[in-house]
Amino acid sequence: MSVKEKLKKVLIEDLNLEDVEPEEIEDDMALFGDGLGLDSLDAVELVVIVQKHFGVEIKDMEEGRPAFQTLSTLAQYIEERMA
Amino acid sequence: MAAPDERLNSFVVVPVYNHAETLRQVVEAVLQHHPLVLVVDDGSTDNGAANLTGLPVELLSHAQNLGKGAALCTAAEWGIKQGLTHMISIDADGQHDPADLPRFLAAVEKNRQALIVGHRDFAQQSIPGSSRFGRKFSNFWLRLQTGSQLKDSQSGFRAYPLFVFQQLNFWTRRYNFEIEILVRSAWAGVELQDVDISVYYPCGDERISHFRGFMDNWRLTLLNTHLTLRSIVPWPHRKVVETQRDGSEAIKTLSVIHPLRSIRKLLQENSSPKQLALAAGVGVLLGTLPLLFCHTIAILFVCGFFRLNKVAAISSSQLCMPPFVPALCIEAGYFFRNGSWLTEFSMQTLGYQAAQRLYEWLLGSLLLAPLLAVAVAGITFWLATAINRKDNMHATDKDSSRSERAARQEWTSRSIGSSWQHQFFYRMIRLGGRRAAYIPLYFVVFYYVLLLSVRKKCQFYLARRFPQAGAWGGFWNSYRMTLELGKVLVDRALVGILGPEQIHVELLGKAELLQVLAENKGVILVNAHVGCWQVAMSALGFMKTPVNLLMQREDGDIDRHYFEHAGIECPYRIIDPRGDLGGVLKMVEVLKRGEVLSVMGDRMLGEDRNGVDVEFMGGTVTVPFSAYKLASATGAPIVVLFSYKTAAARYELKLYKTIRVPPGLGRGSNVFQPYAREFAETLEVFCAEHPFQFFNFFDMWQNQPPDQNC
Repeated sequence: MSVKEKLKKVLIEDLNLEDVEPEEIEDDMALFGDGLGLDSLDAVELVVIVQKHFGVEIKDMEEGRPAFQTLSTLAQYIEERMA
Repeated sequence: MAAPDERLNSFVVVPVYNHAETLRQVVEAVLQHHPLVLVVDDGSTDNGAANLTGLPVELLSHAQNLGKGAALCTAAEWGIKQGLTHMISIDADGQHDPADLPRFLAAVEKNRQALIVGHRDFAQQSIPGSSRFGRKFSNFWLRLQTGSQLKDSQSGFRAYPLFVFQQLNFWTRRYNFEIEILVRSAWAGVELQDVDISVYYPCGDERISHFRGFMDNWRLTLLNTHLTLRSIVPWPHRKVVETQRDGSEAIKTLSVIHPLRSIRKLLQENSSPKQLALAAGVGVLLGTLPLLFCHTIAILFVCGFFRLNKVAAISSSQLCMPPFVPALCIEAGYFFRNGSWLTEFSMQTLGYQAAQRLYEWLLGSLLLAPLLAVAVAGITFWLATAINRKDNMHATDKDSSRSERAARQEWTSRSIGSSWQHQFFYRMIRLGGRRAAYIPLYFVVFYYVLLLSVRKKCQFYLARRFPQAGAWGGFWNSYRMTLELGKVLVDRALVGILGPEQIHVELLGKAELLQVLAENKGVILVNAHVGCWQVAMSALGFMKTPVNLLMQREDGDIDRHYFEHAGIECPYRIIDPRGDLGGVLKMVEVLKRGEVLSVMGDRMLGEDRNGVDVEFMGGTVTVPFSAYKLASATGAPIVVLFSYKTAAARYELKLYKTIRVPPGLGRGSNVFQPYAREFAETLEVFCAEHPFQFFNFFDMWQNQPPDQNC
């Protein structure tokens, strides 16, 4: 399973996104605001999820902020750190 | 010498009454210097006008003798109809030299708003002593009545701006008209200006004057009496020319229909800080002297003479009201005479020796009056300068902040009271420390609590805390709460201005706090709008851990934080909830580093929609749950820390509760409800202990409005 696919799955599970299938999450969809519809406080959850499932700790928020744009940017960030 | 265009805007008037012999000569000479000449024949009986045949002049005639003033008014009316702006009057008896006309035109060109009066230099000529005295006398009255000085107020050789005739009303029509127009013009803000002219006094028989001794003197006396009485009334004169720097020709009137505007105007007259200080000094100087029953009159005269603000002078003279200042003077005089103080107050010393005491009063007042006057003038100058500066500063940013405030109607943390009021308290702190700022606070707060809008804001919370309080109780409680807030604001400024050692803060629960910090998971301090957080923070200085504040600064907030007073860098890092993702990532970051994060638990900030409803003081309020969510995500313990004022210079910072939120609670607001409720309960405990230090001035229970009694 690619990082992107796993990410889609855990997002839906851990964030309790009801009525959303992994296929429906597009790669360049914005995570916050209009796209996936997460609110700012969900960023806390994202930090936890990324650490729990991928073992990547987001410590410096200057790095984290651009990673939280879309699903692909986040996946890319994780891939870089996992290696 | 003069610009040709001034000739086009002006004309020369020769009022004539039975001066047939000199008239033609004068007019011919005038025509050499000015193309437009008007002769007004004021009902002459010598048919002098016939001498003018062949001269290019305008001629108007009065059927009967109405007086020089009437002739000038007729001429002015004609000039206004011709669209002219200035009129130069010259006597027909030949005492003025028309060769001086260019000097008037030059003067008019320099100052078109001024009334210019030719000054005859008597020094060179053999002038009768009575004329010299008459002129000095007349100049003195002019100065007394208007504060304006002219070297030759009796001279009839003048340049008048015609708007003076259009806008002012005159009582007199004869010789005294020339006095009246000077006085009224000066009152109206028209500048009176001298211009030197040559003098030619025809010898005795050659010169015919129509000044009729008794009647004209009597009229002059009546006019003088009226003008003098009017001049001492501290009611400003209608201004035709604004004396302010902007030079706009606005006409401002006083009327009972606009009492406030009138009073403002009244107070604006001669009110530069220097003038106000002088006026106050004069008021005290004269007020201290034993001018039995004549203080007010004397002050009004002196103020008129020196153009000082009469209201300021009279008000400051009230400082010298009996018995204090007279008693002080008598003591000083007694000491001066006897080398000891007067300590025996008996019929003997105050009754039988009254003449002695009066003498000592005079003596003492001569010593004290200048001292008191200088002191009061100094204080007035300082205050006036300060207020002026604040007003100017305030005027520049007032408009912008008002529109901002209007743009957003919702609740704002901005304080009531304007910038200069805050400045006042800051100044009091600098001058006299905490007490100096507290004392006016009792009055200022009382004034604010008189306002229904302020009481309403207090009662949102107070009506729940004290449901039994009646109308008076509600008022009193509002006063106490607002007063506590005022004191807290003063304390906050105090710490900034005079240093943190001004306030002693004691931390209760230090051991527990240290324990929590030792877990090294970061700590979330949940706070509320209670006590004085900024002052209390100084008690946390022992912690080596950095403190981060989630704080939203509003633009234009005039309330300064203590570190801003001290001009030092903010000792905390501020996280702005309006930043990226509401500053959430930043908050996670600092907690992960094991730092302290401080948030407000009792109020939703800005755009934050992450609220949860909890029960609080018998109603439902929405409080933010982000703190509990952060705690759940990072494992950081939550510490509820409230501060409160316990005495004038003492605060306590108390650890009320530690809340632990289990990890992995996930999304949704309801999961955090129990922890938010724990916080609300803690706040209820605080409100029970310190009812007037929960500074809540808005309806946080909007869904269920409480019964308000205020």
